[in-house]
Amino acid sequence: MGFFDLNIPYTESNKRNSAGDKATRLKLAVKAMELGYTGVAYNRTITGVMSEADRCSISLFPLSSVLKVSPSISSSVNLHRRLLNVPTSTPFRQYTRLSVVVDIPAQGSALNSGNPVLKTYDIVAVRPLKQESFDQACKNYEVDIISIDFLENRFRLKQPLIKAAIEFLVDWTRGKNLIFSSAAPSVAELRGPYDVANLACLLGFSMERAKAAVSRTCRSLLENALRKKKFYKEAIRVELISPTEQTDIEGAGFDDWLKWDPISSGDGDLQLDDMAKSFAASSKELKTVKAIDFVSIIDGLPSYGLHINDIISETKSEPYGSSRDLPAATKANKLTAVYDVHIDSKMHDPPENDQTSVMETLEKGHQLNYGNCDISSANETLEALGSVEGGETCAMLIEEETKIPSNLNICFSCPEAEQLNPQPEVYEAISEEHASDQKGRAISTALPTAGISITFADNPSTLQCNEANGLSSDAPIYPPMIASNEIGLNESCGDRVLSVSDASLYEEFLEGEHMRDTGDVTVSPINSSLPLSVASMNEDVPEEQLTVIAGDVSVARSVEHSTVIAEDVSVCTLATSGSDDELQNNGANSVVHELLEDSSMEVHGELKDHSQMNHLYGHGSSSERVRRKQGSSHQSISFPFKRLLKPSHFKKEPKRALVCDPLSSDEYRHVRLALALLSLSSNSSCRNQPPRPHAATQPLTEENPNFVLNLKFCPFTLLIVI
Amino acid sequence: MVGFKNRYMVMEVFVDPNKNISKDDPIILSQHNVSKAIKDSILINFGECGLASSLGSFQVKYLNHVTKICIIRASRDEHQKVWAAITMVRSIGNCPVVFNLLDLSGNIKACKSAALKCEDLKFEHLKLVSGAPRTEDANKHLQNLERIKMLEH
Repeated sequence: MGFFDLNIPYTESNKRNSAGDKATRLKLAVKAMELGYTGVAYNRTITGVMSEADRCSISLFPLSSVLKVSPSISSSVNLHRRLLNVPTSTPFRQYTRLSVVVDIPAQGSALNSGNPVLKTYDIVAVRPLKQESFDQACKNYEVDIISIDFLENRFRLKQPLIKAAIEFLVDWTRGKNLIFSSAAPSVAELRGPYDVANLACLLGFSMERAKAAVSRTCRSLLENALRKKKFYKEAIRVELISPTEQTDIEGAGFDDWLKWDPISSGDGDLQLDDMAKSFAASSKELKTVKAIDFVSIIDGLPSYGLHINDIISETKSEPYGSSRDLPAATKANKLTAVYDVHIDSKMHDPPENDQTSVMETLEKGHQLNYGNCDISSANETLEALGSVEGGETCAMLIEEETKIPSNLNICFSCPEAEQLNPQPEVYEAISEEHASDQKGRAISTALPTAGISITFADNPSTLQCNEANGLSSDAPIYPPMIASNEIGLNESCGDRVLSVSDASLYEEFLEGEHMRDTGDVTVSPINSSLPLSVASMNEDVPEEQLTVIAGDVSVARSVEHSTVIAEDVSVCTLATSGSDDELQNNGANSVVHELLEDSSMEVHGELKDHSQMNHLYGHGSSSERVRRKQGSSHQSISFPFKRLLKPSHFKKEPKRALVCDPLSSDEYRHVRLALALLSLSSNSSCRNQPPRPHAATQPLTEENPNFVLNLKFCPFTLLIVI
Repeated sequence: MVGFKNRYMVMEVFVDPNKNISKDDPIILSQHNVSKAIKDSILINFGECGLASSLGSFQVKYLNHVTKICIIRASRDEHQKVWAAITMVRSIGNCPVVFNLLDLSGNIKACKSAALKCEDLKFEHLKLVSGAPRTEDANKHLQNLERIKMLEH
């Protein structure tokens, strides 16, 4: 597990000492690397009002400058990493962080997700100076870190109060969601990760928590922060894949996915191997697949979206002549998945898009004739689906209505629910389903105008393909959306056709214990053509690796017209835990983010409104790729649709854990006290005191802002920045 | 049985971290130097009581001023405080230093093997930094390894 130091001060360069500052920063970064840290964040502090000029201008250091400072660094780095049990090939990452000092709550109003300046930084932290701003920070602000800096001595320093403050902090957070960072002004104040953890132990943390505060918590913080930043509403990755690449997808693309780096800092990643080789005067190509800058890709897409004409040049596909209504399958069993496709006439393009892309991915060698797709066949397919009985799990599509209700609305509805099943219905069905049988989950998905619909179009196409390919009728066709973990894949199921979207969903859901089931997912003939997501389903990917982070193709949201889905680009969207913030902020967001943890994500009432299409579209274009979150060892992988299965669907709860709520003002005062470390030995006494009556009833989840402890190694005092 | 337990910490010292790499050390480390600096730090951070309680088992068992590896022993009860105090050492004499823990073990045997490994790696690193190794350096290195092996609790 890598160690991170998320606060290396960055001072804005003024002409005079910019070179010096930069050199210091470089030295700090090099030293951190040498000490065994795997990532640093350059922190820039601003107070007051943000302006456009405050956009991130922190330059990440390339390998060359590192080597200039310390040419033989790689051997030293290797040494330390080996001792710290960090894999030596971990790249060294650099991030940018912004700390906003907030004095009065009004100043913090800029800290919402819409602020473009904030978006240019990887991590956003808020430093409240007053009680109220602290409260607000905990509740409202869209930040990753809440840091309290006692350096400015705004609070009275009294030893017993300080002791109480430390003890309070420890009790309160129990060490969860705290991170330590150095804020070291010079190299001499940087300490190794284990040393920092030991200091935390003296404050009352257990060693395990202390180590986590330097490593695991930071890492999860980074994952969430980067997800928010880079991926537009939980879309993981959007890639343009030319049609010619389709055939390779199964084989080649897969490995690519596995290498995707969820906390990549883009250009900031420095590979150790490169360093060693550079030292030996050679260089090596970086092989890691970096996170894709979603925004730039989206920007590159035409605003009207990609119509089928643009995309499909070779494939012969007949555009949908008319809207197709796939009535709900008549399946009386618990399967509540009914594939209900309502395609608006104006939605033809996106579905076509999808379908085409899906078609393209099919390596059947025969062109699926769209013309054959008609309602009847769809029905038959549905019935085939319906025929899946006996514990066959039906992927549930979580339905989210788009903002434009008239849009394509493909949903799986319960057999009982016909036609356009309204979302609530679906949800009820889902909840019932959930209650009754964990396997069948129907998730209706409402296709938003844009790309999302694309994915849904896949379903009918999938179904039809099934039909066309003469799949046995007992091959279940899982709707793209696969619901909660509980569904899992029923082992007893026979062939399972996982649409790509399903796969993507599966991946997300099948994390952790659920992954076990993947082996059972057999790829039907269709699936063989389906990209990796399906294939991935067949793999026994270890938990840690399978996190399909489906993002909401909320690009669709912004695009009334179908967009975002580049040709053959499928956006796998999965509710991610990181999307909580977004959910909160986007009123109409109906992204279903499922958090495995106790975050209070709810499926927002957007179900009724224009919520974003839920992302469970793994399929869609052939380029559908299921992103895997690597190395996430904890079960915090969000299970996006879990919430859907609970009855409290339409409540919107603030995402942030209500850390502040149970605290009284006295306790707050304690928290604000600066901590001097003259009485470190009071550590034991802290432990003896009875726990405070406050109830941090909701433990801070990862998505909640982390409390940052900044240890500044000033003489004789350790300033704990909570 | 043995009731009294110790902890052995293998640490490396970064002398004058701000300096240019190739310059010579502004200070020569010795066991006495390091020990004094650590004791001062304990006194400052933990008071006289802390110093007194940790002084019983505190000893710098081994120090190599070239590779900057040192082995410090502390009692098990106090080792965390001692470790924290070591972390907070800012300077030895006039020269800023940074301590970094490499390994922590409960017996001298494990400590020795860890120290040997660290010494070898560090020596390799130094060779890379300073170019071709001289024979005397290599000899010294071997001598140091021997010294480590001769350590007793």
